[in-house]
Amino acid sequence: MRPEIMDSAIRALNIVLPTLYALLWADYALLFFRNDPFAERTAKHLLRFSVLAHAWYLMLRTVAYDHFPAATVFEACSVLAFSVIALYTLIEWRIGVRTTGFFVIGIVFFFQVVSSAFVQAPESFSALLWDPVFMLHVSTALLGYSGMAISAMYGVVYLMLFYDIKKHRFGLIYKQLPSLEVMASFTYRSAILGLVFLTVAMVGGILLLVEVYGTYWSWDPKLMITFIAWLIYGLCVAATRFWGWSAKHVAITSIAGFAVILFSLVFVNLVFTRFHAFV
Amino acid sequence: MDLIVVGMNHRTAPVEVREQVAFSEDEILDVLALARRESTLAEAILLSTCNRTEFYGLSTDNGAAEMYIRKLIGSRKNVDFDTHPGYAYTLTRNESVRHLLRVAAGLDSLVLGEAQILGQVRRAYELSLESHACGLVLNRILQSAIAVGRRARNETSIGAGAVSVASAASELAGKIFADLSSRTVLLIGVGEMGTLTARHMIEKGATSLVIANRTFSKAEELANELGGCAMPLDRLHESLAAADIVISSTAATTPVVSRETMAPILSRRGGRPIYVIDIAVPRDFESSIGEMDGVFLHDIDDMGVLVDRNLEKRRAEIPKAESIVEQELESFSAWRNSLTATPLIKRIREHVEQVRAQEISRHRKRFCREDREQLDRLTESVVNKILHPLMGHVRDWSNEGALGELRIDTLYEAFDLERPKTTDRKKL
Repeated sequence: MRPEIMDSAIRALNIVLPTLYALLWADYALLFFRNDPFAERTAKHLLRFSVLAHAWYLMLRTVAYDHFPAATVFEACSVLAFSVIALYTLIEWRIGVRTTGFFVIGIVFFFQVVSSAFVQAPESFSALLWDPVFMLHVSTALLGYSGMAISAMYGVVYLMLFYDIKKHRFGLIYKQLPSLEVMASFTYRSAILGLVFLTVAMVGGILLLVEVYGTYWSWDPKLMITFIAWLIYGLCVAATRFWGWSAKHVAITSIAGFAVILFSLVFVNLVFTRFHAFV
Repeated sequence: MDLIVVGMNHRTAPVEVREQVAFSEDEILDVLALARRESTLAEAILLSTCNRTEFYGLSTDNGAAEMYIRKLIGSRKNVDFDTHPGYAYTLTRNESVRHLLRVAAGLDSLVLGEAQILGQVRRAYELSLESHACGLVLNRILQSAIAVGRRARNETSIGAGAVSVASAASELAGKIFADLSSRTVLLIGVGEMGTLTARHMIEKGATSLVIANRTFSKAEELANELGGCAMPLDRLHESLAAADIVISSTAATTPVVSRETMAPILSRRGGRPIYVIDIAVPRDFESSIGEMDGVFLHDIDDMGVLVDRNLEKRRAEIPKAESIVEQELESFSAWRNSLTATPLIKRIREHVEQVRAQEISRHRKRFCREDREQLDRLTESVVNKILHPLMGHVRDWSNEGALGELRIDTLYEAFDLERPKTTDRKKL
């Protein structure tokens, strides 16, 4: 494919992707709030099409701009949106329930809108972007974040249903969501997945630190905050495994951990540090 | 021929009267066989459930058919319909068909939208077929009724949600636990409502049942019946620590479980949630237990909220289900009307074919062997082309009421055809 055609396709997809996710979100909203038969028929196909379109967009970016698309926080946001939606697609296929999609797709839409609004074609970037350890570090970090995003979303939904059942409110949430046990299971399993990937990302990050700066540790705010998030998820998994924490505690901890990650990803990345920028 | 129904149901007759006119399957086969022998009804079906006994018959004389059905049920069940004139009802023509369709849809049930009635209608149909009392028309009506029943449940929410305390409890359990098959159910007390709720849990897949009761022998007796194990009430703490679902319905006047006793039990459970259904009045579990983490506590009023909400939703679906009934009724009426056109179409075809054959035979010698075959095909084609639009009109006229009947009569006269007599129609 010629570079100018790829560039046009990337620009077009930059608009198409948020539109697709907006449509997908609307479809899942219709499904959640109104059990709409049209939404029921179209949701699965629209979801698959969106995932494929997003995969194509990331591949095009990789080839056209000759780097792994994580040079800036806005590129990383798109990769994050992709890994969340891909992970959700697997979960939906696994449990066969679509009513939780409304909550997860909201996050995907948010990350893709942020990415599409601010992302630019980088003119120059660090050679580190093609380093295999760097690619492992970034991709596992984003997969870790996706696992944690999914875990936190299921945690939110779990708490909504938990309090509805406790307070004897048998409304929409009660009617549409699967059982508490199913959602607790996804909160916990996604947290484990996120923790494992983030651990690998941190090991990769330490190796990169040694390679580039010759040190094992940096007092960079992003590193510190990511380490705090890792500790929170570590505590959540260990406490459930060894001290029999209830699903409610897991849900609250997971939400807290993801709030820390969001703070790290958006605020710290933009304001405090140039440490994680590669352009 | 009209469909007539004579019956009693939960709206018109008390249970003492309904149970008096209830028929067993063997009795239904007997009664239908008798009706078949006596030939007053062309076709017949008897639907007998705990909420209704309805005898449907196909007849040319509704008055005689009603008298016959009342006499038949009266003699079989020793019931005098004249003593309680308000208990029985009679419906004829479209009203009787509409009634059967509404019954199959669950619109006439005691619990709106309940699912069992469709199975009962299907069974009544099978019994009618078995006794050879079901002919062309009833076959079509019963198939329509079953289709209405299926559509009402698939296309509307008339049968959705739990509408009894026991089913509401199992619905709620399903919202807490993904699968009941590995759950332990603890039943405290052997009251009727608690036992019914425990049965529901077992039907939903719960395999382990523990019954705790003040009188141990009663717990043992029920455990044997339901396939669980009995536990003395003084070992309640132990049972509570192991149980996932607790159904409590004792006659105790003070709470059986307090917040203080529940706290150490919860700490032994390792974060596993416990679902408590307290249907006792006064309540067996202190209400503050519901505030504790890991405990979902619902009392009889909470169940009532869920049941009322589900019933309200079902009521909101009535117009949709009624519209399905009307659609099927319309389709059945069109089919039934088309039956009146069938004999005329058949006779006109026979008449024209006879004329064609006669004329061909008369002029046969004028044509050579090869031309005769072509002549046959040509005349057949001409006849078909002339009759085709006429047959279409006849079918349309059969759905046009009195004017249509007049037109059909005119055609009989125009072709000098004899009208079929009602006595020619197939009897049982």
